[in-house]
Amino acid sequence: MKTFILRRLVMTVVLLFMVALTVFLLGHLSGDPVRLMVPEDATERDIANLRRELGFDRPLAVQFVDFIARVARGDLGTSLRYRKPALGLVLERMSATVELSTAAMVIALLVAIPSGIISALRPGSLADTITSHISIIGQALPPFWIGIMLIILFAVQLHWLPAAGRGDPGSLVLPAITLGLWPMARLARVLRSSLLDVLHEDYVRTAKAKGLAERDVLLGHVLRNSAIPVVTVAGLTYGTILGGTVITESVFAWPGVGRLALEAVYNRDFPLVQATVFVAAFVFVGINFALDLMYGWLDPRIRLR
Amino acid sequence: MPGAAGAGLRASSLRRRRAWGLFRRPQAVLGLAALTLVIVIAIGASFIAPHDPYVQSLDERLRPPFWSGGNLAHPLGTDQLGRDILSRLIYGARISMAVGLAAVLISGSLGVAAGVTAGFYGGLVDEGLMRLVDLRLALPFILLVIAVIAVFGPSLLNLIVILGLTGWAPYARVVRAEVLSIRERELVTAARALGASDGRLMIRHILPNTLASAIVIGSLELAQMIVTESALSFLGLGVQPPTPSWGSMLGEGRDYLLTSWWLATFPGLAIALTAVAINLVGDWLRDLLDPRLQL
Repeated sequence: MKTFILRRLVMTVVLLFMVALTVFLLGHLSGDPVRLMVPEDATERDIANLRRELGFDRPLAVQFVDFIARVARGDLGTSLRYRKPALGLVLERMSATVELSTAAMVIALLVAIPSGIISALRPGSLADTITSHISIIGQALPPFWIGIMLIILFAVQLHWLPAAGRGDPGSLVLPAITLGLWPMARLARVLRSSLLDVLHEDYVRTAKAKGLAERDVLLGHVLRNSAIPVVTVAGLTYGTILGGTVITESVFAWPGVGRLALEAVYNRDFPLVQATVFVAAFVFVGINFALDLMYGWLDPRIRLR
Repeated sequence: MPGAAGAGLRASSLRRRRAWGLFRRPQAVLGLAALTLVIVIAIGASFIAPHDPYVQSLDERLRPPFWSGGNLAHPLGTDQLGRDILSRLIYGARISMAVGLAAVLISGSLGVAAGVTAGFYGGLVDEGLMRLVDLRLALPFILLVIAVIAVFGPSLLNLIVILGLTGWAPYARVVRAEVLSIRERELVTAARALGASDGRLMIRHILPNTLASAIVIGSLELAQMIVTESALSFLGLGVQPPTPSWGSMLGEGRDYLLTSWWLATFPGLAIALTAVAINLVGDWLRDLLDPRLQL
């Protein structure tokens, strides 16, 4: 088990290093990072001075080493617009995004688990057909369209829920449903196919032949064994939506990290854009690492490889 | 190699039989019909559209659809600058399809090439590619795309290039796995024994066998690309005005939701229906060509 953890840890650190390299290179993609930071009417002399001041005239390798050193200290640059450390700004908005993503996953699981189970237990039935069709559509519909439609229906026409912003608990409902629709559809499908796979296994047939009631078979054998791929996909989906809240946050004016990144792009605040990409990737890699460990714990066959 | 050839023949006639099963799946037929309609509209936009999508008209501003108080000159109404919505929807189909197909072709070519190379050579090349895939998947797609747009500025061409260069990972992963199994097959050993070079092996023997999976992934990615272009245009970071894009129409219509609902509803429906149609066709293609693919 220890070698497993160690190997995964090393791979994770290498990956984080590559993420840092990519974020660093993002700024240099256009050839001159200083131009990204100055207003359009800056003179050549101002640009040259700024370049010297910020150290962009040094060799690339030197700049990168410096970048890594600063990242290790927690310095992800300073926001040009807010004139505050970029990392701090991202972390400030993190709680809003986590709140939204978690609510979305909870809604997704609450619907996906029962419907996945029903679909798998009665394949081909009306319930299964309906669930499958809704899943296909749910995975395909663009979230920003769903968000706007929900706003039109529930906020504008019915006045039941607020149209935007983060305030009372009711304001979480529409954005969470919008964000949670894709995970809901995906998880229902994954759960259904995972359950169907397990239901055909020999040990399930044996359990039923032994005379166990269907419910006991389900709880004792089937659900546990089909949980592994579902938990993995659920974790990965959570990581994905954490980084993908840009659209939903924009539609609902939700004050999270996604919207922060968007505003940074509009304001040509490149250090802030870089910081958001880095933090989002960092969180995703962290979640993946935790999932790897959990997967290793849940499925002994993995750690012994 | 009679066995391999025989298996190939049997597989393709099986596929043909399963293809006709299409008609037993109404949703796939619907999807295919809708998609064909969108493509025809996109190609024939200049003939089909009743008006020029760029022409503004200050006295025709914000006219409702014809069933809601408007007239048949502008069947789906007009927008805030008096431009005909139906015509803009039609030309928008062209933009969506063009961006989607171009991005899929670029990313698909890159991904398949990478996957075949990695799967074929194995070892360090393979390890390197897998780490690159991990890296690409660790960076959140939409954030990555808007970060690159922040560097190069928003434009139609930039969008196609960016989407094309960032979408290669799904193809690479799946194709590589396929190549790993194809590599061991008799036909490869035989071709090698006959003196085929690496390049010839990869292009003539291995590549054709990976195309089925690549097409399935490509069809699902097409929907993803079209939705992403719409989303970025919605945010003002994609196709720039006045070029008609469903996404930017939706974005502009957002300010008029309370009063002129038709500005946002029709482009939104267009995006949603196109995305669903492509997904239905993609699902059917997957069941037909490679049911093992778990996407």
